[in-house]
Amino acid sequence: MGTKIKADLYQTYLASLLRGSKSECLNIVTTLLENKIEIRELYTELFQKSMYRVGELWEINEISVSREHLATAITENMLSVTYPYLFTGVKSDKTAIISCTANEYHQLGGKMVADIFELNGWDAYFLGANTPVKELLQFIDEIKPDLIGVSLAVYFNLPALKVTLEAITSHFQNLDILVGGHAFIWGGTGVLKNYPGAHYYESLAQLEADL
Amino acid sequence: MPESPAHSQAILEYFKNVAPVLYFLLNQDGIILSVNRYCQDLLGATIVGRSFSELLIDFQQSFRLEKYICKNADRSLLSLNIPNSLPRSYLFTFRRINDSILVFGRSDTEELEQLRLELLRANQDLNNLTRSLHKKNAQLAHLNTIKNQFLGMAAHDLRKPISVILNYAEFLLDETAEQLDEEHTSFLRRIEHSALFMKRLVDDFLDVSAIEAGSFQLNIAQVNPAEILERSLVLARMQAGKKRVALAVSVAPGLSEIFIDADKIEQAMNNLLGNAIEHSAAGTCVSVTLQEVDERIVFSVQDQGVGMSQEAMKQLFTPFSTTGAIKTGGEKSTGLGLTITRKIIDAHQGEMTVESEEGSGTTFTMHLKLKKNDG
Repeated sequence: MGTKIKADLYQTYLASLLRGSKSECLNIVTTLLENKIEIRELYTELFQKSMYRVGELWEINEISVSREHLATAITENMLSVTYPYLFTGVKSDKTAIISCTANEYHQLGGKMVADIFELNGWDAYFLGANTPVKELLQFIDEIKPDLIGVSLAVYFNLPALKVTLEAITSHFQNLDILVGGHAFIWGGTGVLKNYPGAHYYESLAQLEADL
Repeated sequence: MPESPAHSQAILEYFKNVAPVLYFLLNQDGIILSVNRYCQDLLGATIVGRSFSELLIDFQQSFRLEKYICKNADRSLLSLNIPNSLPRSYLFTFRRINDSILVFGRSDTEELEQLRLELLRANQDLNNLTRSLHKKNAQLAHLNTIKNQFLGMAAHDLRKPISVILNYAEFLLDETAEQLDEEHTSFLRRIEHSALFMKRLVDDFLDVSAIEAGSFQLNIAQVNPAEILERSLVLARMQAGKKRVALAVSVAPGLSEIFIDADKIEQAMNNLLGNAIEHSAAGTCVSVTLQEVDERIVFSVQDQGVGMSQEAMKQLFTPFSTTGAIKTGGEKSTGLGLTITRKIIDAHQGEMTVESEEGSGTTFTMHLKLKKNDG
C-alpha cells in the first residue's frame, strides 16, 4: 500500500519544522487530512519520524535544545489539528490512562500513545507532563482503567519511574502497565522485571499490533 | 588606575568584533560614532550619527547619558524601539573610555530561559486542554445521538396510542353529544384537547430528533407559493375565528413558482400563523403578506400582540424556551415550533427575521430564494 507522505513532502515538512514555521507545517498537515490520510499514518510517518530526526539532530549538536523544543511544540499543535478526526470512531468499553512520571516534562510521546489508543477504539485519558504520583493514583482510582501507560523520555528520571511503578503496583495489583519512551532507546528496560504487569513497548507500531 | 590607550583600544575591538552584545560607541554628547553588526542587523545600517537616546523607548523623557555613566551599574534595563517589530529590552552597561563612551547591551538570558520554559508549559497545557475538549465534545455528540434515537423511538411509539385516544374522543363527541350532559361533554373536550396537544408534542419531538440526527429530508418540488399559503390559511382562519382575531391577507399577483418542500414550508407557515393568532387578543388583526422581492418569495406575519423584549428575542429559537408573552387564549406551547420552523427555513437555505418591540406586536418574515438550490 502506497503512502500519501512521499519523501519530498516529508523533507519539506521536516525543514519547516526545523525552521520553526508552524504555518507551513499546518498547511501540509491540513492538506493531508483533506486528502483523507489515515491518522495513524500521519502519526507514524510524519510526526514520529520527523521528531525522531529532530532528536537525532539535537544529539549530534546540529540543532539547539531550544529548536528541538520549538519543533516539539509545533508537533503538539499538529496533533491538535487531528483531534476532530481522532475521537469520532467507534468506541470499545476499554479505558487507558497515559501519564508522564513526576519531573518528566517531555509529554509528546505519551500523548501520541494516548491518541493511538483512541484510534483503536479505546477511551484514553492523557494526564500530561510532570504528573505527581498522588494525582495519578487518584485518577486511576476514579477511572478504573484497563491499562495504565507511563512515558519516560529522559533516562535521568528513571528513579521517578521506579517510584511511580512501586506506587501503582502496590495499590492496584492486577493492573497492566505499559512503559515506553525515548529513555529506553539505549536499553535499561531490565528494571521493569521487578514490577509484575509492567511491559515495555518500543514503538507505536508494536503497540498497535497488540491492541 | 587609568587604562593605557592600547588597552582601551583592545577593549573596544573586543566589544565591536567579538562579543555577542549590542555595541555602541558614543561621543560625549551621546551621538553614535560606531556600532557592531548586531546593532546594524537589529536597528538598521543608518544609525551612526544619530543620538543614542532616540533609539530608546523613554516614556518619562528622562534619559540622561551622564546619569547612566555615573551609575556605573552593570544592569541598566532599557528598551529599544526596533524598526518594523516589537520593542526589545536589554541590560545596558555604560563605560567612559578615553574621550568616548562605550555602551553594550545584552539580553537577560535567565529571564528569556524562564519565559521559554513557561511558554513551552503553557503550550503543553493548552494542547492538553484542546485534547480534553475534543474528547469531551465527541462524547457529548455520541450522547446526543443516543438521546435523539431514544427521543425518536419514544415519540414514534407514543404517536399511535395518542391517535387512538384522540379519534375515540372525537368520535364520542360527534356521536353521543346529545346523550351526554354538559359535564361529561366537557370531560370529553378536555380529553380531546389534551390528546391534541400530546400529538403536536410528539410530532414536534419526531421532527426535532430527525433534524438533529441529520435525517431531515426535503422533498423538493416546483410549487406555487400562494397555493401553499392558501392551504395554511384554512386552519388559521378557523383558529382566528374562534378567538375573534381578524386576518388581513395580502398576496401579490403573479408570484413565481418556487422549488421547495411544500409540506415543510406549509408546516413553517402554520407555526408562524398559529403563533401570531395565539398571541393576539380579541379584536386585533393579524396581517399576512406574500410577495416577491429581489428573486425571493417573502412571507410575513405581523400581529398586534404584546411583543417581546430584546432579551426574549435572543432565546426565541432555543428549544423549550418561552418568551414570557402570555398566549391570549391560554393555549399550550410545546416550545419547539419556532426551532423547527427555523430549521425548515435553514434547510431551504432561506432566512428568517423577527422584529418586535414590547407593546407593539411582532413580525416574523420568511425569505425563500426563487432559484433552485443545487444539492
